[in-house]
Amino acid sequence: MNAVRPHRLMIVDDSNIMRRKIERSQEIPNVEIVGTAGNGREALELHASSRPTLVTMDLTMPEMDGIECVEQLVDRDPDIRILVISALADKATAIEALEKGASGFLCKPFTERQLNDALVKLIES
Amino acid sequence: MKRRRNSFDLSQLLPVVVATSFAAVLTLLLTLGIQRAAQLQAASSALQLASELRSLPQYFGTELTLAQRGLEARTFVGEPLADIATAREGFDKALVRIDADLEAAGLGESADIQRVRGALDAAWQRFVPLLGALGRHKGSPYADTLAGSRLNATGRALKADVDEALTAQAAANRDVGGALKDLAAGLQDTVGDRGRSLRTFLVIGAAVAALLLALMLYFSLRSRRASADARRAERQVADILGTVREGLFLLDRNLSLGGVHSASLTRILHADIVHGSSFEDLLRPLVPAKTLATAMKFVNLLWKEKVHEDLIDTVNPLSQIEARFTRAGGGVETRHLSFAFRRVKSAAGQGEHLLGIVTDVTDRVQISHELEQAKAENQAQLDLVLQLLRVPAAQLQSFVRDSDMALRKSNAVLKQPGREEGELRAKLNGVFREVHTVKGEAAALALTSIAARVHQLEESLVALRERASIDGNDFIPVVVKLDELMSYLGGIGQFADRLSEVQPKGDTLKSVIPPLLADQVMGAADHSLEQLLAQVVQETAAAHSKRVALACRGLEAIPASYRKAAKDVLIHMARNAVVHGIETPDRRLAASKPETAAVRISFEAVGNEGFVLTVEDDGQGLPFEKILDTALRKGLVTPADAARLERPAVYGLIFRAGFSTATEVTEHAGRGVGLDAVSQTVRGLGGAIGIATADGKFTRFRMKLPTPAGERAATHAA
Repeated sequence: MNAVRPHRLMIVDDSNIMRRKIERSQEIPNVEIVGTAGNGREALELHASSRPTLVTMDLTMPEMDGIECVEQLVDRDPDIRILVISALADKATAIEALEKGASGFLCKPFTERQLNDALVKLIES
Repeated sequence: MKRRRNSFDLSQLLPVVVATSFAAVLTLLLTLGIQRAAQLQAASSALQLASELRSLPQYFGTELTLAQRGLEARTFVGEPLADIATAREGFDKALVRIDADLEAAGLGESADIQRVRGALDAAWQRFVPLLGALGRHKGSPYADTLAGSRLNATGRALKADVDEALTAQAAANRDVGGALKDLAAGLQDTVGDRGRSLRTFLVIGAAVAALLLALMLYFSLRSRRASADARRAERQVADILGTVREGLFLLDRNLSLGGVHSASLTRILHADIVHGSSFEDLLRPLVPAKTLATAMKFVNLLWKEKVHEDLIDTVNPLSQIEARFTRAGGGVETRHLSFAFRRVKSAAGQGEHLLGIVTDVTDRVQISHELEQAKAENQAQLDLVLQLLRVPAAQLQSFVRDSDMALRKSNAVLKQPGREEGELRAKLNGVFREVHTVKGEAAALALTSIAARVHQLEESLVALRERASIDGNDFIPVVVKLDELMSYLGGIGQFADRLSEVQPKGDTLKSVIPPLLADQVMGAADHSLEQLLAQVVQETAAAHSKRVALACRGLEAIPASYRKAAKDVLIHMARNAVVHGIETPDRRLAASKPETAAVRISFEAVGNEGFVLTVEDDGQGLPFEKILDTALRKGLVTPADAARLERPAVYGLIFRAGFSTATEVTEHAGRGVGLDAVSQTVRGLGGAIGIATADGKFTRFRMKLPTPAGERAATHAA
């Protein structure tokens, strides 16, 4: 947390409400939100331009889903830390995302505190 | 981590390092001691030789004197001369040995000793040729004459040499003796030195050996203590593992089970735990194949450094599983198990093992199920009470009476004799009709909880009716359910009776429950309708900077079944009157009207035909042009129609859905719930609305309502 360089957070979720919720809830001092994306393709474009170090990732999205996006992001930056945020309908899908290189999972719905705790742990991992 | 590892190794190595260095020191000391001892021995030997040699010059003197006297007496001198030669050779040899001893004693380089040794040599070399000269004479020294023996030439020469040697002997005795004395003194010192030095080495050596012994004792004690600690720790670990209720086990990277596990593990999993067997095999009998595959993937995630173990807890497919075990005495037992996994962080590094924790959570799961059930039941109870409170107690009582009668009738039907299939079916149909009626009545009174309950019974009757064949035994569950339903309705009957005590007029509850709940339960009670309307009018007027006085009449006479509708309609129309009908105070003053406007609401009976509900204001009247304009804009009328429409028809347009002349949406009007809602409510009650208005003077809505059906029914029933 005391690192000189701030952590750069990208929010990926197809729901506008969820993106805003994450943006508003995030209150870790050393984390700066570099942008939000509504699907996997946008996320990859945003990654190219703003080089995030942290990502919150929805799994079910149009155009390119979360799993594929996780795979491609990790392919481009092996050090990137991804927190999958999704409703817990299918544990196997969440596990697949973690196998592809995500670092953690947060279950929807979540409280502000749960999100912030998860982000702190994401930075630690 | 690395540092700790080194220090750990060093502490292990310490005894070895210490013992080795002590042994090295000891060896060095002993070597030096042996060297010193050898030097001491050599020095002593040299000293002894030097001491022995000191008597030799004296000896030469004696022997020379014997030879001199012998020559003078013409006796045989061969013996003293031979002794001198032998002693001279002995002296030479002794010198060589002294040199060797000096070398061995490490004095070869000693300047003092060498100087003394040099002086000895010089003294000896001065004397020794004289002794050597004695040996040159061969043959007898005597010549025998008649006068006796006399010295011959050889004798004379010999005598001269002996005399010369004897003369030199005193000096030699002094010089050689002095040099030997000095040498002996020097060697004495050396012997003392070497002796002290040897003693010192031996003392130090003994001290070092004692220290080494002490250290060895210390290390051996320490290692004994450490192994005792290790044994104690091992015992404690065994105690913990034997006592802990959770099943604890270790997994290595191949997901094989470790050798150590808690005793509970065997009990919880009903399986023997074999060291080195695979976790997957252990899990296989407990979970479906799909869960097993997901679980193995999940556990493997924990080896990934990038994954944070706390952030994947929620996706653990083994966090709660339902396992079936065969009981020892036969039968199957269902247990709920929860598996958790932690990375083991040890001093030797991270990620060598995973700690698995299994807990039997059956009790917890059951409690949570029971809690959920209790919650659902509570909710159902609350729903039921709310539903009951909406129905007037008298109606509720009559419903319970009727239903009870119907169910008793059903019971009686079921008890009638009849074994034939046809008879049974007739009975079934009879019961179904009765039950269905009860359900219909419950639904009509919006008692959905009761209706649902009756529906369940009806369902089982339907299921029975659809069966190919039935016999008398099939009715037993129906009778049981019927009994249950009757006792359930009996409870509701008691509730209705108590409700009637607090509702003397047969109304729904009004004063016994707080207004907020009352509003929620059954709409605002009538006695407060006037107050409510006054509040609505004043708030709306204040918000629009208008001054309004409200006058109500006859509202307490509104029949119970109209109250909810009347409240909705009046609140809406009162707001409408204030917002749209009444002008602002300055406009009223400009039109020579009183600053405070009047809104009048009245409810009155019109003979036997019904009632009239009137809402009237002394405002600006309905704006004909504006209404037409709006209707045209919103497409409610065509321009062609607009030209033909009479005034009353135009006024009627304000009751059409989607009509709102308010130019801005306010809290009080213009929210899209237009007068059409009012019109619908009134028409729903079988009534009609009439409008009277005069520009700049007033607007009056008259709602004609028929005598309510419920009221007629109630009267009829009574």
